[in-house]
Amino acid sequence: MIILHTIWRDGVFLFWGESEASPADAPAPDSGGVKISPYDPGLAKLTTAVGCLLWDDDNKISCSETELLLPSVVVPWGEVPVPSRAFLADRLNAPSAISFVDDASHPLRLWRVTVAQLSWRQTLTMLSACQERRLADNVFAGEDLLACAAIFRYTGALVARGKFLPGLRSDPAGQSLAVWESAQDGEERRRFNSLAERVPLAVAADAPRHKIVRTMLATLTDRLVRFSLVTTLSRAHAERGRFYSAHDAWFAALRGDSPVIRWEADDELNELRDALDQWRRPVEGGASAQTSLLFHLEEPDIVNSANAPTGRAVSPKPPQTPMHFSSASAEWKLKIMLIPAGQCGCLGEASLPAGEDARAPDCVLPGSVYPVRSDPTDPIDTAGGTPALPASHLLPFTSYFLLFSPSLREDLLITLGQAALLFPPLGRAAQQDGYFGCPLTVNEAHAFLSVHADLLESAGYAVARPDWWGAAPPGAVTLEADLLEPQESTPAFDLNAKIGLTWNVLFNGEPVTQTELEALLAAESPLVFFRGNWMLIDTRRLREALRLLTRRQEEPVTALQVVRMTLGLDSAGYGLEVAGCKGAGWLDSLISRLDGSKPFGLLPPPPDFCGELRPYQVRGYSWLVFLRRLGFGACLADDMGLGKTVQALALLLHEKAAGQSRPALLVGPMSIMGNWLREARRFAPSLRCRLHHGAERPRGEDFDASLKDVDLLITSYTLLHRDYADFRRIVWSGIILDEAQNIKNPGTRQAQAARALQADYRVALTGTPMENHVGELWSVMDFLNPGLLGSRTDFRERFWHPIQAGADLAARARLRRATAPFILRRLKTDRQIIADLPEKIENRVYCPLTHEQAQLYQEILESFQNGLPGLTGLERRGSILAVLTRLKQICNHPANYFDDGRPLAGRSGKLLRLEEMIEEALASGESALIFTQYAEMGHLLRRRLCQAFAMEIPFLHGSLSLKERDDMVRSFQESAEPQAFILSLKAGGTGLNLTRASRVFHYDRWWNPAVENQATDRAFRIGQTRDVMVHKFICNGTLEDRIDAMIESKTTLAGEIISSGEAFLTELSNEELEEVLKLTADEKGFL
Amino acid sequence: MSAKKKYSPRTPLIVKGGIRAQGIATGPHRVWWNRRWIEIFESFRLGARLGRGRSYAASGQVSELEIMPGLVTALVQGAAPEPYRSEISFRAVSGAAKASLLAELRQRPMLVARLLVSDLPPETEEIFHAAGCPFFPQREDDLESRCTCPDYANPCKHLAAIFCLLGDEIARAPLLLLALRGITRADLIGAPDTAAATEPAETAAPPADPTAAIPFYGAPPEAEPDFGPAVRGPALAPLIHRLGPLPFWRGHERFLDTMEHLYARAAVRGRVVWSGEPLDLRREDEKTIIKGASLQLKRRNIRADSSWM
Repeated sequence: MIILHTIWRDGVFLFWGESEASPADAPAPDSGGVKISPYDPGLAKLTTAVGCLLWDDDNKISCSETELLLPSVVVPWGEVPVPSRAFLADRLNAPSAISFVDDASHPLRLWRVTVAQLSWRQTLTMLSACQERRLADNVFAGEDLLACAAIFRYTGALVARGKFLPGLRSDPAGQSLAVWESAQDGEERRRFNSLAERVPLAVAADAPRHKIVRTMLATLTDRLVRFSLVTTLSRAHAERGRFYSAHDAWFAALRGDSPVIRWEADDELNELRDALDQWRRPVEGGASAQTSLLFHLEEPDIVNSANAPTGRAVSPKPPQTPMHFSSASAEWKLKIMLIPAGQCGCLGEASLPAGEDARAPDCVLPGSVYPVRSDPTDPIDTAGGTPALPASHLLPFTSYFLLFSPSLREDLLITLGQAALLFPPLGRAAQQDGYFGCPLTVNEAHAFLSVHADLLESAGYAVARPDWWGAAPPGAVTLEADLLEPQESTPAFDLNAKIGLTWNVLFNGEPVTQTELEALLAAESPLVFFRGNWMLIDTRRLREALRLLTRRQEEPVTALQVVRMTLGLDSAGYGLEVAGCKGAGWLDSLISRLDGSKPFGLLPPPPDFCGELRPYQVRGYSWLVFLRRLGFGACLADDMGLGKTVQALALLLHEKAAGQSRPALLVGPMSIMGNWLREARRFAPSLRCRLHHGAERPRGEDFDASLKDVDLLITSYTLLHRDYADFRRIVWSGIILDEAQNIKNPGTRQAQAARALQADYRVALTGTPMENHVGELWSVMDFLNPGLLGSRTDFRERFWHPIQAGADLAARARLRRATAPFILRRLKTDRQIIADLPEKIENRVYCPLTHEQAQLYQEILESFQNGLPGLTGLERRGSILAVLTRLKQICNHPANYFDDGRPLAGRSGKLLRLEEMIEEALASGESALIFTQYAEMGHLLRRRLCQAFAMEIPFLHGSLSLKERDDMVRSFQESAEPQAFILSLKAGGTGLNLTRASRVFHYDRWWNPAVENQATDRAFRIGQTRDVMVHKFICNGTLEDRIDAMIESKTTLAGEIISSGEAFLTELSNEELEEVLKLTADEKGFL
Repeated sequence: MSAKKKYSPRTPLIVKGGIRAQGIATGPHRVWWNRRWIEIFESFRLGARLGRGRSYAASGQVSELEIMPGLVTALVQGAAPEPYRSEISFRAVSGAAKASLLAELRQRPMLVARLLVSDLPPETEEIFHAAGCPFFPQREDDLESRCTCPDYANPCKHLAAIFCLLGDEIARAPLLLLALRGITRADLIGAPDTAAATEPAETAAPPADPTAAIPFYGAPPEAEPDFGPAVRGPALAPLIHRLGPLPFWRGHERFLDTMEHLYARAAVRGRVVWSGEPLDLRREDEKTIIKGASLQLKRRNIRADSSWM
């Protein structure tokens, strides 16, 4: 495990790391000079960790040693650095972890560490890769690195917004450099400052830190822009080209690998620098100016105007639906106001007082209020009040600007002049009747609204649009289909059935007639006052709609097309959005079920299903069948513990009952394959299942033959890609992906393999919410319903980026509309579900053994059995109890039996599954308790889990003082972040209140349910607001498995076990004992 | 230009680092006031001296040029070892006429604003005329020129070279036309005349160093960081468009066009970083970036076309 850090030194990022220290690493107490940090991972480990974040063909990095100032603490045998996480020092034999808490009071000392110095290309790649704490297996990012990565991401945002300018600077050596620099206005500064505050001392130890972070931003901006601009040609030009002026040399150096300007004459460079500074002054001056400009467009007052405007009323029914056409003489007003700078950013905070007149357009006077949109991307929230700016903050231009000092006045005038360059009609601005600004024609007003307002806004001006101009201006042209009942009685659910339809044209959501459409087009005006509102006229779409109406010949479409249109994914070839479909019997009911407006029919559980489906599970299973019949893939995303497996099994049984003869394929992580097999045997014994796993698995023709009597083949993601050739050949009845987040990254081989398989239906099961990760949604959806969301590039452009910008609510709604029918997610907290659930849900987690575990288990068992016949009485009892402990320890982890100091990862099936489940719990914000009866196991778990999650995970056990226990419990209960907490069953099983946890793991079993329940009740007690999930870990095919089964059987034997504990085993005969302890053949070395 | 010359002029001595006319004001981008300037200059009937003056200006024979209110002085290198001293004086406005002219100009903030960003609204000329002051020079009235060269003709080729250079500068910065009439930038903006004038406040002190509040290695952010939006918009290179081309631009590439291209390319990369996707800088995938950029430029153009202006 390694935690990566970064430090900004001499204008570059250096990367270094921390690993766990072992006693051997402890610095010798009296060696002179600067000591090597005990956490230093060393060259090889650092290189690997950094290298795995870079692209394969550019991951050569140079490392060296350097000295860093780190907070340090004195322990009995000397001084050591305080690591970023206390557990890193666990094995240093320091007296207590408490002294390793990272606080500011520790003195800074020099330590030697290995650092990786990357090329700038690599540095940017690296920073872009550091978006989460967990970077790769066993590689984590420190908070300092994440803070720098956030600065870089912000740099990207600035560059994407075009908020940067070219400049000319001198380096300390006196060379002139052509550089790209960020240009920030007030809003950007606020964003930057909040990011800069996160950058800790570890990155930039020198003061003033703000200046250092600013340099960092400047450097990153220059590098990012430069890398985007350098081409083979421009590089050659910058290095070898001949220039005729300093301007040319500067322009070339902006696009060269090196920013150095190849021009001799210093005075000319100085002149250019002055010219550039002068040129940039309006932006930079404007950023610090106290005042900026606001442009407010006001529409002609058509409604209240006494002598109706020159526009004509052409509507068929003029009194009810007045349709005015704004002619050229209708006067739009563009008013110019002054606005205190900095107000732009917080316009939204001022709210509009009640009262309609507040919005009246003519009240732009000090003391009154009118709506101002601060950000074009803000949603128009009419219900919550339009974000507005108190007009007292707005100053009439002419009367105020003369009050400013000359330099401010000059800045302001330049700003005004530049606005006129962006929107030429502004050049006519003058003092008008009652305002300073200029009248606009309707065409100019339209141009302003549709193009120039955005342009002005992104150039830093404030713009107030009329409030009817929202994110989507009124006047959308959409279609609505009236479906006709199919002629002949087609069987239900035939998606290829042809369906006749007629189209209705909706203008701004309301039906319009052909006459009205013609009139709208005839007005030849981009903005029309129609039915009491201003509408944007989209000539192309209106013409298309008119053509559709005049043609009156509608070709039938297939039912599938109708479904796609309903989801907003098909425009029926008219280039117009289809807003909805109505009518047509079964199709209508199908559509309403798909979009969730009507429930789909519930099915009875399949006849062969053993056990009971809860009501919500019946719903889930019926839904799976419903989509499967339609030929759509389904993603069942229920919370962990709600029984996704049984719902999928019910679907498989339903398929089988319907006469399916081909096998289905189930793919999951290796650690849950056994669990699947077991659940299948339990709930669907008629389903013939086989594991595809292990070295002896059939390949090639054997593989095909082996599928003959199989209903469900279970395999792992690893093998999916490894045996892809075999899987690809088969046309599966269905493919089910469990833990489908495994294919969230579409570039991985397993994701590609999964998408390429052929099957009649596809199901994805996952417990992690997908809707939060828009980017990851595509891969799963494309597996389920290929092409539904378009290509990845399309998806990125249409949904991902707009949604991520937080800007496009319409895109989010569109995505939801398109995907909602295919994702079913129920939470444990859903009221409906809670009613179905007990407050405490228990399940058993069956884990496979690793080869190492199986081998050890077998060895111990054999030597025990060899010795057993010769033993009697107390000796026999002692020997049996000893072997029990050993076998249970081996099931826990080989190191629980004998710790040889080797790494813990990958050696225990239980541990592997625990890591996966903890990860899922933490990801969904739940805290977890982990109980074990062995103190050594608790220490091992802590060691491994700390490593696996690079976070502090406490272990409460008997040898801690009362105060230490109290501290642990308090910090667990009060933590804002989800946490994991390991407890020994004895020390932590009673008395404590740990209601912060909603997950309880019993890593090993104490066969008395009362004891286990008591432990469980640490979480499940008064104060617990959530339902508690209890997971009991059991190793497949071992004594754990069989004893558990005995207790479950609720026989008299079960009662005996419960009352006497494991001692009852000593009463069994040798044969019976063998039956309990033996390792089932197919469980020998699963992983 | 006349085909035959009565005498062949001696070749002038070469000047290093002289001011060279860039000829940027010619072509389709020629502004109306530059055209007017040249028309006036041509109406002076210089004959062959016009062409020679132009080549003097282009080859950098003018080694020094100083512009003062109402007066331009220059050193022009001819064939003689010492450069000639040339001088053009314009009739500057002053006194009451200047005051009323300024009052008239200050009534029109937009006009002043446009002058400050190197635009010249045509009504400026009318305002000068109304105040009884010529705007563009007219030979008899308001313009006197002298040169120390032996040429008896006035204007001589040295003065012609100065006229050429002035035309270039005026094309870039029409404020020069006003300066020749004695109206400075400061005049246009106005003196610090009112007590109420607000001086810009000291730039806000940077926020106090909060390092003490966060641990040495940093702490997770309390809220999701706000990187701001990065939606596609019509606004490519907004700042560049706002600022316009760099004054006195001497590069051979067109400033705005090239910049717009560069910004479009940078925006493609910027958006990748902003979105949190891994950045791929391995290959100079120039083509992808350039394609993405031109797509963006095309979209912008389509959108601009669909506007009704």
